[in-house]
Amino acid sequence: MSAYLDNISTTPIDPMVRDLMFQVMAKPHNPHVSYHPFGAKGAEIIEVARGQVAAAVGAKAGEVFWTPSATAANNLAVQGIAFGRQKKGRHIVTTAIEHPSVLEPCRSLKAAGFEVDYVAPDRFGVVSAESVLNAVRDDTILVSVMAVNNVIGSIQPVQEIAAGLGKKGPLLHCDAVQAAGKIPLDFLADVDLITLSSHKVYGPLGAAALVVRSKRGILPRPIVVGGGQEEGIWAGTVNVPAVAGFGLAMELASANLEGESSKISALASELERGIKEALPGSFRNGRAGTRVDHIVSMTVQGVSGETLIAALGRAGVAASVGSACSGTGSGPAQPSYALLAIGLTRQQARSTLRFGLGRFTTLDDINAALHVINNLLFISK
Amino acid sequence: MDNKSVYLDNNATTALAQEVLEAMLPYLREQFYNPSSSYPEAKGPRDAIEAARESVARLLGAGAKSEILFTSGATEANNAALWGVLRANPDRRHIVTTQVEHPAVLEVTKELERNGYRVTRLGVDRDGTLDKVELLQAIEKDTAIVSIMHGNNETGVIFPIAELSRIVKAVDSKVVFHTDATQTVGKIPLNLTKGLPDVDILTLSAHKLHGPKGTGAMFVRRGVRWRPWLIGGHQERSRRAGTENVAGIVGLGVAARLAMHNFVQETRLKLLRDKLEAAILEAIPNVFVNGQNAERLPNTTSFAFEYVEGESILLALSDAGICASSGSACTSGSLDPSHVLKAMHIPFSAAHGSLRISTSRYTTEAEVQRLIDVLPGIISSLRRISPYWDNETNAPRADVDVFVQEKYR
Repeated sequence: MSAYLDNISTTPIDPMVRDLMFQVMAKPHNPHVSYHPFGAKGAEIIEVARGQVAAAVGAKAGEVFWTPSATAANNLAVQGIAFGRQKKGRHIVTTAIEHPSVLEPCRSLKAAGFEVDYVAPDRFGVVSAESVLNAVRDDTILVSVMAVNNVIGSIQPVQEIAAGLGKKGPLLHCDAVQAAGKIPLDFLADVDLITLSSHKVYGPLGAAALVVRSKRGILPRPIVVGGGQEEGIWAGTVNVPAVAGFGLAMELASANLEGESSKISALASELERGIKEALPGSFRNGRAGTRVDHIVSMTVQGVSGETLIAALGRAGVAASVGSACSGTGSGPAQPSYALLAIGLTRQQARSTLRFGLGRFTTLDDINAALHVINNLLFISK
Repeated sequence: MDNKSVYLDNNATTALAQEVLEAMLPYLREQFYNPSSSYPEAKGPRDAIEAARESVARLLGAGAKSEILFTSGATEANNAALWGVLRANPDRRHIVTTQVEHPAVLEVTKELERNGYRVTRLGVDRDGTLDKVELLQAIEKDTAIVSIMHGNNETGVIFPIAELSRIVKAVDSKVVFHTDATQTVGKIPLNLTKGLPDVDILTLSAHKLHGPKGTGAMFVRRGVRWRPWLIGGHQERSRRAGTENVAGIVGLGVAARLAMHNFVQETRLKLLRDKLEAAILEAIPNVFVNGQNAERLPNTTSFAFEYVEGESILLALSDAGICASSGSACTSGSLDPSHVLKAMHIPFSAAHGSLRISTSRYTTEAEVQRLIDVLPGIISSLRRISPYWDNETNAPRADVDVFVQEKYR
């Protein structure tokens, strides 16, 4: 691969994180065994990591619960709060552009008698705090709004929503998978439940967390039960090396945030400029100010998205049409529902490329992508 | 925790096999791609997942690799198995299971009861075996699923699931038969096509067979009515959502292949186990082996030492550099005797002194010998300070039955 520009789908593991994982993998740690040193050491490792993840979102260590993936954490947040609080009401508010791991559990709740409102975004991919708060009813038990949309890169007004909801009423859940390590996370201070993923912040696959703030004293009802690990919130032997890696990855992400952001911002502008120049009429989705730099969603003109992505692929440049989660590697890409929700036509949505810039992205990577695009035009002319 | 530690707690977790670790490394380095991505590089991880699926299918003797799906572990798989079957068969509200299941099944059935389902839990006899007639009688008109583990994690007792599943199907072919085979997969050969044709769903964990933590698998026989549990992604053909833990899955695949090559070790481990049991029963009074008369896993021994505390044995062993367990990792920390020994009617005074030794293919004879060398001394020094023990006669106090007031709650 000559240029990896798909850091939204997954990120390479940071070498420091990898080194730590390899050390941990060398021993048979089961953190749930209390009477021998391998067990005790395993428990210590995951507690260190818990502290690291907690620090990144200003939470207490005891408020961090490990799950095997962000999908699992989102399933737990939505279903666990819904079933745990159904006596208080059966209404949920979310947005039309959430990740499928929030939307599918919401849809499945319909069969159990819940009602869900899906708030639409504006044409820049932002839902207004007002429209979310207006959708809240007396029987609303949960509001779930992502921090950063994974297709467009638009930033949602989570802090405003939290302020509007106040300390009573529905709980607020935020899927912050695409925000962590990319923008400062202080806006999560008053969010009740937060989903974080390891493999989007240069940590390994197989680790994620649901942060549940204790001030409301409400825990989701578990959806995977058994040995009582994670205080019963998510049972199963914890994946110690992955969790260790996740902890360090979160710490590094917070530490590197400032330096990384300015570099990525410059590279993103260059990519946007280059594509607009090569393909006049192309535009970047979202709006400066309410969008993250590291997600560059470009609706291109003059060439089909499919042709372009194939040419990029052949040249070893990784980018995507839509998101990895909305189609299999082999099947034809469906137009992204998030792009349709901001008013793109199906044709435009199919011609929208998503570039994910990251810690290891260089100007050479950007130039490689632009080179492919320019070459393609040259050949087709 | 030096290299000289003797690790005899392989039913809790196993060390990664070197081959497994090496196979995982590329997927933690340059092959980091999301398998769902469309560019050519992502084909590497995608193919690796399919190769692992093939290996697991082969280890289990599954008819098709599409019957295997990967999860984050056996606990998730067990939850998915039970809930998934009940969701797909809404008219059936009854579950049959046993009293000695792993918490990952036991706790799900408790949760199901809280949700209005009915659960029948079959008991076991003193040897830990099930009564087949009782199973037959337990099946009701609206039984959705029978969940019976294959090998018990605490005692190593193996249930004859081929026969049990046949019985269930004979009564009602629509009842789904699930087995949690976490402790048997990789330790004893099994074949879902020829040997276990009536088993519909089988669950397993990678880290019990020298694979990594964070990965498990589920066999779901083609045609079985079942609905996915984690949703919101097309992964695993929409049967289990979430980006695949590629390195973990690759590790499980290699662990499965290694296990197939190592079934020859079964005899050696059995001999090692028998040697250990004979030596301890010979050297120490008032001890027995739980489930000794039942068919058991080749790697597991559950000792019950009367009138000593299991926890004290473990601490003393730990000081001697030996890692073992009192029951299961998942219930240790609690002072209650294990639910498994309780179900077997092991007396309270003995169940409290239980010690589980679980070996692996990497366990050497010298390591087991080290246990044989230190254990008699540990037990006798603990008994010297036990209020139930008479040091004069080196036997329990004559009035011990009156003295032991504690009973199962």
